[in-house]
Amino acid sequence: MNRTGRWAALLSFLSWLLLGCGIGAALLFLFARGQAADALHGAKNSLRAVLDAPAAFLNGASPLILGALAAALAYRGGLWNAGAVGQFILGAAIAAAGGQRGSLHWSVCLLLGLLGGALCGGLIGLLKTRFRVHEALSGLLLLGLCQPLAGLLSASPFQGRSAALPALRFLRFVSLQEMTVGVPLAALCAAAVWVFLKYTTLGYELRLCGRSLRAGQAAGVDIKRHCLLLMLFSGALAGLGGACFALTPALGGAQAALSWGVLTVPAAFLAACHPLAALGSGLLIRFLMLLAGQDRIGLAAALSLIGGMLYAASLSGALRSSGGKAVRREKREEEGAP
Amino acid sequence: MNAAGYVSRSLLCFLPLLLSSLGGAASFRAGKTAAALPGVMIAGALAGLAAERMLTLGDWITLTAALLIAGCAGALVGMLAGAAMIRRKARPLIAGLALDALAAAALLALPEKGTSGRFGAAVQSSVTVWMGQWFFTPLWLPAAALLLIFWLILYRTPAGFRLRACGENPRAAESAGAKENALGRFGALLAGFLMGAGGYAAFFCLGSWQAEGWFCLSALALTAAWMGRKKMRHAAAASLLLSFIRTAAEKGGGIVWPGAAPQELIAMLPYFAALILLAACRRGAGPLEEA
Repeated sequence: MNRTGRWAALLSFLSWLLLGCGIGAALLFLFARGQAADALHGAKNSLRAVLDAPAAFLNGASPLILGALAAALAYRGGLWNAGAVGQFILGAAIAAAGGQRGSLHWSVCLLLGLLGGALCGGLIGLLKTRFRVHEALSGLLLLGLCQPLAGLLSASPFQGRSAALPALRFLRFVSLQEMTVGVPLAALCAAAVWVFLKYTTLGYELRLCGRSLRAGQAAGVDIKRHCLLLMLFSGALAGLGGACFALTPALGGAQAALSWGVLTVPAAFLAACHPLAALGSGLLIRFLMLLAGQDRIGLAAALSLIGGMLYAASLSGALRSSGGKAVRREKREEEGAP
Repeated sequence: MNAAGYVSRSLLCFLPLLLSSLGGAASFRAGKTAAALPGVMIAGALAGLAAERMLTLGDWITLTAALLIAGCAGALVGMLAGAAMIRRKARPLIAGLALDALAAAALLALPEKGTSGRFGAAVQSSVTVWMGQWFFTPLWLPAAALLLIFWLILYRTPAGFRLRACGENPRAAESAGAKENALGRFGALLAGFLMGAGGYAAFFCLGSWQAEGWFCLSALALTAAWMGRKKMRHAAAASLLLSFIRTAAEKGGGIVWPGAAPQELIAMLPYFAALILLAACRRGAGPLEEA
């Protein structure tokens, strides 16, 4: 695709997202007529909160970006990591338990969270390759396993943290002295994933398998190894996101790990699974979370907007399926068949 | 709770699981993914609840009408997912995730007091029939009729035959004159109807709006649906097994666990059992399968 085509595709995708936003808002008005207007008026207050404390906003966005990267990487490789939520929760619980009980250094806690996520992701990969269990289904069931496991790891995992990500004090000249290490880490990971996908042989193989696993196999890619490694890497990213969440002060309690983790997968698809666009979608979801606040109707508002945008994104064609009648017809035409 | 109570409670859980998993399995048989199952179930439950509150007919008629209206709402949401998949070639899992988010938003937007139905807590309600130590919900009767009609459509009509053929091999079915897109829509409609009815049955039988309960139920229903991709009776058998395990794992489910066993470990039991079941049966098509 040439440069003009790319811009046209981007504009088309964004206009679909805008349409989805409208659908979400319309549905919200349909279900909660009285309160919906208040919820959407809260957007003004959220914008003010972002401008007043940009560092806190960015700190909140970094776990979402890392989680979105995990789901996006798996999708680009042809797998659906629905278990990214479970990996996020497990990473958060392990990192928090390490910091709280073991009084470990924050970097060790991050590493532990990453390993926890990778383990969970690897298990999904193993179930797929060895036992033919679909990764979306095993991910969903592992989420059900991870949630009580996180509660079991530490009785109150997210309270009284002893380890926390350090703030970048030297950024006080741009009023970002409260920004933690998590933000540059998320940006670095996004850039690394982008470079990996675009400029490395393994990344090329991964994208090829993402188009069609059969094509990858025909090109000589070991599909079992591919699935296992991809889920390991994806799980590690999600676990890292969870660890960042647990080690960032003022990001909610035990219940929050689940509600934050759940939003990582939509964040990936709102970015059309592009690693750099995941930065933007992470910020967007964080903004919607600020809009949601603590009350029920706020959360409903955020979910309806996200759901509407996601539905529109699925319609946009940017995340099209490789099967279907029309696609087959296109393939036949390309092959020159009548 | 004694053994009869445990079995009765498990059978209460079995009904919504059976309806939803058969709906999901029908979706798989039609060659589509039942990714929107949780969203369809929630939509069905909300529509059934609204019908239950609005209708002022007798208990039995209201119950049957609510089940049918729930099914229609489910079919509508199923069609939305189907339209995205068929018309716009959307990835089923993404469209499903979007509809799940929208359904969850609708559930949250509902006021707290608006979540109680006309029949109250179903198990203790006047429409629950007791037979000695056993009790069963009268929802079984309209649900059984619904399942019979579903079976007749899928296995005893030309449309059902074409639908199954299309699920097995779309290109071959298309060559034989079947219209793939129309059949895909029909499959989404049929599956959505059953899943929506299953959602209302879940609300009626289990009487819970807790997110955790919905998540568990829909995850188990998806597992059972996946098991029934080749043969529908496998979905029914998996539903029965998982409903017994789920009841054993819930608080007051009738099983007395050793005092030292933490509640968290017991809560993991249904998911663990579902994973074991999936791994043991190897129903997937291996790592090459694309969602």
